[in-house]
Amino acid sequence: MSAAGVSTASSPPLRLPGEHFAAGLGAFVCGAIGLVLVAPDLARGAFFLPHVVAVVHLFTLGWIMVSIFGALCQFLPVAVDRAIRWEWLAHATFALQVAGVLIFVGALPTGSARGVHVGAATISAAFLLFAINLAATLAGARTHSLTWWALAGASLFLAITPVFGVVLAINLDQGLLGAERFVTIARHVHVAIGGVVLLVMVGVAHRLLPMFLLAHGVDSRAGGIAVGLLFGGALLLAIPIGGMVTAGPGAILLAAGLLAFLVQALAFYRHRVRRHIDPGMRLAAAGLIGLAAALITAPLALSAGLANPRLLIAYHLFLLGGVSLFVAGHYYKIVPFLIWYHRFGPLVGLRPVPKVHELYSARVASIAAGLLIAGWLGLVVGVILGSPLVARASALVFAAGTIVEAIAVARIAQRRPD
Amino acid sequence: MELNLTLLERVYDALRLVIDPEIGLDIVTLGLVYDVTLDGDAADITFSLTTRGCPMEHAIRGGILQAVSQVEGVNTVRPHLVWDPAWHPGMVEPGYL
Repeated sequence: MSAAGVSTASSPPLRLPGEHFAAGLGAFVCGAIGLVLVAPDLARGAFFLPHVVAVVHLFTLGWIMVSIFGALCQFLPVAVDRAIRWEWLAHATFALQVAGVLIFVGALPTGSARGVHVGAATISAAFLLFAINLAATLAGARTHSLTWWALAGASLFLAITPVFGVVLAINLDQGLLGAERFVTIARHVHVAIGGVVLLVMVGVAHRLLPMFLLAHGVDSRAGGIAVGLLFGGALLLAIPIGGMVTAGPGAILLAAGLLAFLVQALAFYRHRVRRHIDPGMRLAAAGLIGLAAALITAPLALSAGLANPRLLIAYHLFLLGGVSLFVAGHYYKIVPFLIWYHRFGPLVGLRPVPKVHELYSARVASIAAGLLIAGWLGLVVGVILGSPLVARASALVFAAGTIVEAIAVARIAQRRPD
Repeated sequence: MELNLTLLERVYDALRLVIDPEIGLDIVTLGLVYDVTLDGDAADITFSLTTRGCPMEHAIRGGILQAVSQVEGVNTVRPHLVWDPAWHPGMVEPGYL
């Protein structure tokens, strides 16, 4: 069944993905409120400020990565026919991740070097343990599909990404990187996004988009190419030596990998049998368009570098905003189905049960999506124009969108049979 | 024969309680029920899923068991999952997608 895209007999208890999604949404709202505070700084082109870095990590580590960890716990049985290898470790990883984010994000604005180091170390431990759990799960799989390869690649970069983070955290008070700091930050961002986030997105989308869109029989070669290119690109960028010899080709491979993924996703959307696109898939599509915008602005932004900080910020807003909207859209697919599966599924065949889309208001979901998209685009415009007012007003709209989505998802979680 | 036909109709009606919650259609409308045969008070349900290796198998199988067991005159329900022919969206009853 198409709905089976997110659940199986070997699915974990609702609590495991549930705690991840609750914390992820909390970080989404907190990050958005933080964005309101730092929006004027972004419009002025200032992004190396500790409180800006804190807000960025609320989104990347608190929202995106916690959501990914939760989704993978749920999705692995579907993807590779194996439940997460150690469920207790996934709970422990979650606790470490949340604690690490709270310590790290709390320490940055206060200038506590010790807090930053402890937070970075705790998050690194969470990443490494999740990578081990993921790799152990994948090792037990009987077949190696495109999704398997994508997740295997992501598990490697889950272990590599924190190394950059720890080095950058230590650099904050010891300054060991010197002039290499900007390049190291760029490598850190792109190894994390390309090697972890995008690889997971390609692997998950390969299974879920055809199911959610009813797009059967679509040629998936572009997805396979995306996995290879993203892996190669992230690997080159992960090599901390060689300057442009490794960074240049690495960036080109990553860009080509993202392009291949977008081509694949477009093919799924274009060949869908169901013409109506629900709010979740509309939001995911908006995220993909954001990633396309990031792809277009990347050459200009990264070549200009610090010479044009506002363009650099706009590029990162497209990149992280695109990923955020893609993730936010999937909340409207995964959470309602989980609630349906655990609470209404046992009643199938005995009495009429609601459909997944009947567990939430499409109108409210559309309002949330509209606020998120409008706020995000407005923020990009505000940064490009250098207008703190436009940036802050847009960030407020975006924050309102996160709050409406969080309330909508919380209400879904409360649904029970009459 | 007439009794069987009526029973068959009631079995199909019962199977309409088993839905794909994401698509929002029941498995009969979706064309996932390939065949229903009755042998005395036993019902054999041949069905498929939209994707090979689909993890909802146990939920659908359970739904079929629960739904058809409710039908008066049926005491044994035997669901059979098949992959040939493979399901495709063209099997959905016209006008539902």
